Amino acid sequence: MSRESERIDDVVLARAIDALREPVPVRDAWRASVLAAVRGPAAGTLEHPAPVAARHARRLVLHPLAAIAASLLLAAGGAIVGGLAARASSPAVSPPRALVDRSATIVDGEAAGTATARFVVLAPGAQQVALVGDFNRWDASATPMRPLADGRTWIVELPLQPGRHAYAFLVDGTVAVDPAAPRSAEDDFGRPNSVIVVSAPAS
Amino acid sequence: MTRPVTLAALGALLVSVHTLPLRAQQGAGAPRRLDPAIERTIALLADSADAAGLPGEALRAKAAEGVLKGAADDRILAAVRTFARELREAHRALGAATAGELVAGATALHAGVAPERLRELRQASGGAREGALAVPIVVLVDLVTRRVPPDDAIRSIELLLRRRAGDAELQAFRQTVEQDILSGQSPSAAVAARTRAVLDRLGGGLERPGRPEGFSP
Amino acid sequence: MTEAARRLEAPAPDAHGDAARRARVHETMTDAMLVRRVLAGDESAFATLVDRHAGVCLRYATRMLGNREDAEDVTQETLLRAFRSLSLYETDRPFRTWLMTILVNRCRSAALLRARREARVVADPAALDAALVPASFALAADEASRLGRALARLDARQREAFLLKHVEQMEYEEIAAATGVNVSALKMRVKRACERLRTLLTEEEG
Repeated sequence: MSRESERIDDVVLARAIDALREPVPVRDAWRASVLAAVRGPAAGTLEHPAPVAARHARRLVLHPLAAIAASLLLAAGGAIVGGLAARASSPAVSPPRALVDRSATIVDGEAAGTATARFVVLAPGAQQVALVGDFNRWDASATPMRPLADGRTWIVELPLQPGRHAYAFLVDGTVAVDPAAPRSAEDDFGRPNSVIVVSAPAS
Repeated sequence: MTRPVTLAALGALLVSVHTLPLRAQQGAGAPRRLDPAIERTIALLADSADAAGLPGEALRAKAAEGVLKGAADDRILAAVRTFARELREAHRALGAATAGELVAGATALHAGVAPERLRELRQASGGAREGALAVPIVVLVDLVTRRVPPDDAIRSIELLLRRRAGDAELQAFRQTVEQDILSGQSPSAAVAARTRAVLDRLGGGLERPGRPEGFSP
Repeated sequence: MTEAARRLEAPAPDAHGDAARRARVHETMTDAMLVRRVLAGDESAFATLVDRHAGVCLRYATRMLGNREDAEDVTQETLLRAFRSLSLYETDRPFRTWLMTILVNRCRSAALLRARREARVVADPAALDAALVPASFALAADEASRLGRALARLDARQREAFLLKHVEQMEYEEIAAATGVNVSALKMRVKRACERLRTLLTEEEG
């Protein structure tokens, strides 16, 4: 590939590139939430900040910097960003004076010595999936997982202390081990658990 | 560059079909409580563990696990007592250790690993960073639950530790052994083969994990 | 058709007409002109900018991050940031480059956050070669063809350069501006990405 135009001579690659160039459709709901977030009477820009005037600006509970940080929380922020979208009709975020990225302090929790672990499991047909483990005292209601748009992938993120944790998934009331994780030998109650080890934050 | 893997539920694998019906969950209503006397005993066991520098929280969690899984009260108490004892033994075997190492060690003892072998693992890891034995022991216990003969499993992990295999390598090793066993190999053969492979890679000297070109070994 | 039905069918008065008219006007404007309109107070001009560029942003983010949900979050955030710092946009540069700079950085942050989180958890990268999909891309495991999986297995820097060059079809100078990487390094990354991708794709076939 020596020419500036970088013509792809390879058939395999050319096909792949064609496939990748397929447009990704813009969902109406998503577009609406973007515009609403931008458009709220409180939005404004750096140059033209919205007047503090007597608009009925109902501000979001989230601090605007937290809103940006929240949107960086991706899956975890799914709940938060979903909240943003759900309240799209009300004035959303007000403009920060500077685009400070505070996400690290929210997501990492390094100062607190925890880390955020993500649990993902495929459970087609399930109505309810929860994560249970020693970190939430095996409480079936403590850590519900949420389904993604495909309705089959369930996900949750939560902070975990460094160390070894036993856990399992509760799928419609039935305890199930994580098929991809190491097993513990804890068969006292009939089944082993799954184990996750969280390393201490890098020195 | 990217480290995209979480331990839990790698890939889109179906939830295991080996499930345990949750008797306690059937029928709504207040969550089940333990018999008060048993509850007190467990609290005492956990508090004593804390006082002795052992992870009492693990004992409380064990009791909660039993409640969730619908085990009978006295079975729960027995499990907690046993676990407390195993924690003490693990502490004797491992000496100064993190909670994670102790709990992992306790489960290893529960799985039939002798305390001296835990000490050997400690030596083999060469006193690396704090908590360094948690993953090796977790991997060891996993292999044993998959019917790898304990001696084979221990010997293998020791070798890997002496060659300074890291957590990531051990996890990968565990995963490949599991796959081999699932696809029909005998557990001891699988462990032997995969251990050799990792040792070869580690022994190569030039091969280091985490090279910039993606993550193939 | 009854009078009532005809009234139903008639377009709603004014408000809708204004918006439609404005949109038509916007269509003829360059990105730079639209930006000036936004700064002058015409927020609907931003909607036009969004409509022009959101699809491309979504495509890049989806291919880069491997799943749609993350891509939407990152793209939304990019558009918000773009909106808020619109006054910093220099109208002699292409708007797309400026927007993609923000997007590329947001994608990097997103991946870094994800990696930092997951790095705490014991990972087993070698196992990925046992044909498991990395968990962060597991979300796309079903929609991801072999292609998606192969893409996921590229080094992130290579994937970034490859997508910008061959999928978004940006010029190397533009990519350099968006990524902060010099042109020769970019060319190397693209070359390696092509090689690796080709290998992965033909491997899976065999």
